[in-house]
Amino acid sequence: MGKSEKEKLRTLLQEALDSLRDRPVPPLGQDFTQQVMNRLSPPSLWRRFLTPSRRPLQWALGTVATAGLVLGLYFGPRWNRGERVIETSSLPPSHQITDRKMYQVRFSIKRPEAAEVKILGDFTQWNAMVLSKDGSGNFTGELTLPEGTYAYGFMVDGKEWVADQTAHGFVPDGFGRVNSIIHL
Amino acid sequence: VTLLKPQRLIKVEASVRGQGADFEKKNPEKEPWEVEAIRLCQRGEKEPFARLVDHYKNWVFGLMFRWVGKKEVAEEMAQEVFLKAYSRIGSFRGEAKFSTWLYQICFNRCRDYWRSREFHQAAYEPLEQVEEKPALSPHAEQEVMSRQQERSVRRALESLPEIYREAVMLRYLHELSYEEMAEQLDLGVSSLKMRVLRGLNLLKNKLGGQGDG
Repeated sequence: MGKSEKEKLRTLLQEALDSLRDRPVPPLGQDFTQQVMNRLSPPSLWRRFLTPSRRPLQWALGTVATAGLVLGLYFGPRWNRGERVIETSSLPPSHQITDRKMYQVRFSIKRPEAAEVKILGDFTQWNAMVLSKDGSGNFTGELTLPEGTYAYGFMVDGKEWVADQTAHGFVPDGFGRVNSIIHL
Repeated sequence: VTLLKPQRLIKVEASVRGQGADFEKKNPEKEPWEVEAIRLCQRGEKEPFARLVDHYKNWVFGLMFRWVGKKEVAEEMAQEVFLKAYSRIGSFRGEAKFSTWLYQICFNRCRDYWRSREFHQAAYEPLEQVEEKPALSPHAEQEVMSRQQERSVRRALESLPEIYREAVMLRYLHELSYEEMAEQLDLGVSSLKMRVLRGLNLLKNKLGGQGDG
């Protein structure tokens, strides 16, 4: 293919992509917003709990653990076995836009034999975040969090729930496991 | 657990992005009404979300329309984006712009589109006609040629392997920078440049070229 032919083809390609990008966007229906609003469901914890989840098992366990934590804190005195009891009112109104003080926090756990460690906490809405592993078997991850009190734990190789031994406190989740607590 | 450093409320402003960039250039600061609407939605209220939908709907719909080329499909996808945004609004921390956060949901929905039934159905249907033109309009012939070109380009794009198609579309239809693409796709800039280049070469060949570019 000659140079001018290549140039022509390049121009054609550019024009072709431009034609897609610059194609006029048709007007959106007048009732678009209303349609969206009609389809909204209130963010109900109970509804989420009842809705079949496509998430991995540990995420489902995380949801159960969250419910357990809330109940555990509410009925704290009955379940208190020496661990520090967290008042419900001291829990952060999670994930609100706020001008609260922010903290950069490094979470780490040493597990040389593990292939993968994830952290799950109420600051991740109990979604799993994979930690980075270094050469000496330390798994670490950093998050920036607003001031408050958070519950979390580590999931090792997708099967073992491990509390953070360097945490500020611990709280039973009501289902036989212990969550770690951090105060910021 | 280690506290590294306390800091005041961080404002990690997302870098300017293509279609998002246009939007953010026009909205350089967080609007107080927007912050308040988000805060109320995070408390479980529904009504303030309508204002967010009103504000962002044309932008979201435009992104979807460029991606799929069909009005009905794009509109449904845009609605799903807002439904997802509302269900996840609790996870929005205000560290980035709301439009940046919303774009992430848009992009995930665009990616899902390739695997969806609507995409495979759309492959056998004609593309959306934007508007009717009078048959004797002086621009009618040009319009027809333009539509045919669009159709052939979109068909060629859709036939590319997904990794190249995605890279080319993010770069040229959503007009992201390579840095923004790297952030979305969690890939290096150099490998993304290779994907775009390879995608363009494949596209060129499909549109009639013979050379390797």
